[in-house]
Amino acid sequence: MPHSFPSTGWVESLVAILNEDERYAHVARGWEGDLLFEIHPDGDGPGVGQGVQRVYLDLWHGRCRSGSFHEVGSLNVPKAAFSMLATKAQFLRILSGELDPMQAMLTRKLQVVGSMGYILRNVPVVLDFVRCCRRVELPGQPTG
Amino acid sequence: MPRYLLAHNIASMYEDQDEWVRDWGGLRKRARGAATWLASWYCAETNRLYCEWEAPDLASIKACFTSIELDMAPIASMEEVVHMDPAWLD
Repeated sequence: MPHSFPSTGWVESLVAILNEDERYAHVARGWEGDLLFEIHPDGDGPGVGQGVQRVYLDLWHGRCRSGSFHEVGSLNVPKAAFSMLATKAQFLRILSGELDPMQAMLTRKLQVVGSMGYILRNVPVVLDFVRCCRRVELPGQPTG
Repeated sequence: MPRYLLAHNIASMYEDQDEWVRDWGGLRKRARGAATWLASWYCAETNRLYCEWEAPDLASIKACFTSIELDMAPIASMEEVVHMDPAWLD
């Protein structure tokens, strides 16, 4: 079932995928660190702070212990070890496979707050996480 | 132009995205003269970075690196290689 990004349905679908994906469980078995997507409106660069939607994912040793979607202005957004900031358009380019996540980080289209060293040392985990994100079907875009 | 494959053992990793982007951007600019940085592959399991270069000689590649970059990613090996493309078989 398709879910728009970002939305509660998209997060719930991703959490289910992460927790049933054997490859992710194996690749990410050593991963410790929750993650926050900060999704900025298109045309509004990361860091501005207005109109930001957020997705929180508690990723721990190959599992996703919880996930939540936070609309603009939500006050109860958990702090995370890693934050990834981008416009909605750039997130969608990554989710559709149009933009490589490493390229997105190296060109700052995706800004990372948190230990870049940990991210780089765990690149296979990051890439497999993105593979799982791409499994969530978006409206008008069937996933393989 | 000869091609070379360099293997770097990563001694220390960038902890800040801006530092990583700035340093690699600087190397990209320096690697547009006699030597050209063509591509890189990182192996997380061995913490090694493999880089493909095109250059007249090894010295022109070495000249592209700052001492800090070589401290962070010392060169473990530099080998002249020959490019072969599987697509040639199509």
